[in-house]
Amino acid sequence: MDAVDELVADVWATGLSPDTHPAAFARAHLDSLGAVPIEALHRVPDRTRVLVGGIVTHRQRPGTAGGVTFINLEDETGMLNVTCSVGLWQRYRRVARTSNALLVRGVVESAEGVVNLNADRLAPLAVPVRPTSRDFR
Amino acid sequence: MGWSSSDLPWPEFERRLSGRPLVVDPTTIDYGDGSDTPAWMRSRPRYKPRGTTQRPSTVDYAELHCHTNFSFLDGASQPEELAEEAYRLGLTALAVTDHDGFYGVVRFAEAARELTLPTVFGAELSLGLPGPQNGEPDPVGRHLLVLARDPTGYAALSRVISLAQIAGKEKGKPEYDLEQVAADLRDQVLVLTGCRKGPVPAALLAGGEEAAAGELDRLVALFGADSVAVELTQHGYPEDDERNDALAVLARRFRLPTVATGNVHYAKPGGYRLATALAAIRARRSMDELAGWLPAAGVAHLRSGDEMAARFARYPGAVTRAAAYGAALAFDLKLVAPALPPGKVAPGHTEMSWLRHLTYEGAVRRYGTRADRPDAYRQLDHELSVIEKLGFPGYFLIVYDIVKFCKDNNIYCQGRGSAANSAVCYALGITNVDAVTWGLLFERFLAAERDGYPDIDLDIESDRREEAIQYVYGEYGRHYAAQVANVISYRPRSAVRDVARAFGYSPGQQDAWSKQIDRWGDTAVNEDIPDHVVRYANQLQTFPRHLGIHSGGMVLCDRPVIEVCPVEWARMADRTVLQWDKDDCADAGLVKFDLLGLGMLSALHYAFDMINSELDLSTMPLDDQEVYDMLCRADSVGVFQVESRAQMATLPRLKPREFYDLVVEVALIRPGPIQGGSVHPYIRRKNRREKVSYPHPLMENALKKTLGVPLFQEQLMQLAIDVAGFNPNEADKLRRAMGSKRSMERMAELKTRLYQGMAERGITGEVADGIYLKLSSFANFGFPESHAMSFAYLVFASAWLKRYHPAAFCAALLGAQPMGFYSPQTLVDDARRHGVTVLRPDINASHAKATLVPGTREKAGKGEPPGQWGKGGPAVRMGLSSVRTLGEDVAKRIAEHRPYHDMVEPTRSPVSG
Repeated sequence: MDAVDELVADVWATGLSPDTHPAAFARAHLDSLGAVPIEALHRVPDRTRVLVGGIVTHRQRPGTAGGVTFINLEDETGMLNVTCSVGLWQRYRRVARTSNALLVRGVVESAEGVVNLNADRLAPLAVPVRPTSRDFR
Repeated sequence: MGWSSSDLPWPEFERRLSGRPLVVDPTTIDYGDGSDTPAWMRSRPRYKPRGTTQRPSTVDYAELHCHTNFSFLDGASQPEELAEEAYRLGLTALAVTDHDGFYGVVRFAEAARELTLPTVFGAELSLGLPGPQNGEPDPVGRHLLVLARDPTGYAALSRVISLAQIAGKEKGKPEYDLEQVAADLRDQVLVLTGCRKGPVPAALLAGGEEAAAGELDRLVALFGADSVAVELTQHGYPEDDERNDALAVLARRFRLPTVATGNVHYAKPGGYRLATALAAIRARRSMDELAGWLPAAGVAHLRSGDEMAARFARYPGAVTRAAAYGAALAFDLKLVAPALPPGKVAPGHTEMSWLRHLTYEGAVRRYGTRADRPDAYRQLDHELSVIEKLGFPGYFLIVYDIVKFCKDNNIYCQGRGSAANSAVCYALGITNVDAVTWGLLFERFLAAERDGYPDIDLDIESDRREEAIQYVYGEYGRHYAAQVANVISYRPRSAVRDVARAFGYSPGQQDAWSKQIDRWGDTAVNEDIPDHVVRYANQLQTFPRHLGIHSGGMVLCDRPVIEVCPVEWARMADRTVLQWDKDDCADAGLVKFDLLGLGMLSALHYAFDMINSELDLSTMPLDDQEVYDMLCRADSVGVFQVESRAQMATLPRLKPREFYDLVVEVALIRPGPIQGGSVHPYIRRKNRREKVSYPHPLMENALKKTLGVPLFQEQLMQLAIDVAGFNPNEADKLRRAMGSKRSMERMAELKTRLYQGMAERGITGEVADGIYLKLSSFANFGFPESHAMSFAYLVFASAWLKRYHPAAFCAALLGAQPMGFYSPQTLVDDARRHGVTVLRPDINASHAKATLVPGTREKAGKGEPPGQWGKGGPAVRMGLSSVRTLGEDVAKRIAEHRPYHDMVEPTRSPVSG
């Protein structure tokens, strides 16, 4: 079994992969696109436009946020909060709702050690497995 | 839980707390719901009449046969709508007669009380059901319509329904023994012969007049001639007149009265369409397939006395007799609030003396002797005297008994909510927060003028909560204890799916549409779902679909609870549940104990077992800066309460450095203010971007610990005490008056008192208005400080584990799943990033749940970078139950019979059992 087979088997059998992250298998592709690993975003200056790829772990639209949807993106290095405006969500609604991994282009908002990505484009990202996200709970 | 998120939008709230100009008095506005976390349970708003004008009728008439939408999928109007329409039509009374239950009666009674509409309570009993009838095109069985004559009749009927539901051993399949029903209800109810499924009309249709006479004779023999009336319905069908004529003849022959009813299923004629769709949903087929069974027209609505008189002109007296019955049977459902069962006391003690004994016994452990802590003992004496005055010792003894059971059986549990304001609760071991040392205000929990029991909610480790629940059933019995229902409404997805099916769309299409819907909000925003599906789905969304079990509410009564509200089986094994939800129970005066399952307590228990230690909040190193360093970095995946995205976004700003910062964090950081785009004034002040100031020097005492920003309900009370000279009881009254919207009158009175008190202290004009506004703004938002404190201990305990025992922390969280914000994948990834090795399940090494494999050291050292914490420490071995298709039971059996020599062995007995 190669690493991808092992990942698929792990996720199939136990719902998780104990020693790798699914996003790691897309890293070569992400690197070729110039995407930034999530952990490295802390060092990216505020208001920079970047490309980030990762697994969608949560989608949330709190009643108090005025229709804004939050996506929690995770790669092998960390987690990231992505803000999707109402308009953006409308524009990319199918991709946004159905993809289990996303390639997000957006502007980094970094203040007081909190990093947030304000999305302006969403595209599906291919990963070897389909982990389920926790949506709109 | 006794407090809820307010109706005020967060940005507005922030604006007010920041002291920017005000616009309206918040107690007079009514915004939509802003609740956004599960802790913020919402209560049903009180019914407000919509100003319907009454249309007088020249003929008196009371409707005695009427289904609400609590005849699940067999009624198309809310109880309130029916009450309003009955009032509009000038009916002299309205009966609610749902199938085998009193589900909607509290809501109906509340609305009718406001409208001054007299109310009759009854039920349609389903006799001879072979099984639950959902999915049948034409449900089988016979219907018997019974109406309670008075509150005693109500209790007897409730009991009969409960016993039948319990005897049926299955949800939706009550089993009545007609002879027994008659024996139990004789002289306490009025029996109507019912719709076409009533025994008499059914016999008439099947076997003619003599057969019908036989059935009627039996009813009279069973219930007495004074208690049976022959029901005539007229829905405009060809056979209606013929049947009514035959029934009228029978009635004359038996010297029984006839009575007209509408067999109502919806309030207004327009409800017909929805009722038809509901019938199809109930039968689990399309309206086309069901066409042969569907009523031909919209006729089952409420009608005025005049209209009924015209329809029933052939049967003189039938309509006015309905009105006469209505007048005779109507009563107000102000049930006598039942009391609690007696608490357990030692021989020779009263409840109070026993409580006093237990309290002082516990106080020695918690505080030492009276000479050691005179302040604590003074508080205990005060609290005990309040408890005695209010007559609540039994309540405390019952809670103590449940807590004691948990402790004796090594189940982690702790009281949540305002109980932690009480030193008595601390001494009894119900809570772990020392109210005296933290200076918490007892009156927030229990004020001397309080009319109802206080709330003591217990958090129990979720994997073992069932044991506590079964203990309560066992101690008090199924007739005295029951779980509160949770009325499950349609969600947008399920509504679209069911409506699409009713309209005959294919299962694939139903799925496609329902998947398009975010589990949130209105379905109408969706583009390619046909209008009619969206329209009916939206109507359906407010409807109850079935009853679930409330997350932990149990009701205990000194008399059989089944005489107050019927009890039925829940889907879960060994659970019986009331037909009322928590609001209904509260309105009816039932005392509820919340036994809530808390996953984090299970996780903490597993983790402390793994590190061979015992969770003891009193010895936690609450000043360990390494733990706070971790939280300040928002390195909090898995940590109780502060792990979610919104909280992670604020931890680095709030920079918790001491235990009280965590208390603030728990109370303050809820998704609202952050996501709503408003940074809270507290964060600005904490980061010294805004000066800490007080509108008036008298406010400093109450607000100092939160930098001048009111956060806690206790502070509201303290403010009222400091600025207006309230005593603690009055302050609690003010808090409750501000928090409800029900009591404008009392509020006005307290407002005058507040302004007077402030004026006496020289606070007038704008400053006084400003204070009043601040108070009223956070009356709802404010968290009880005591609750935040109970939770903050768990935040610290879990954070400490994550910092020093990352492997045990991860394994424990995996064992306590499902819980928390993150999936097991994220938890494992996070552990890996902290240097923990996670091993796959191994049939010869794994237990059912995740376990630890010892490493070269036991715990992480101080001063290490996060990536090193787990290095060299124990590894996590995933449990067998994490393997797809292996449940907990099978996993346990496999683990018990280790070792195995090949993969076939586990499939043989005794493993495969």
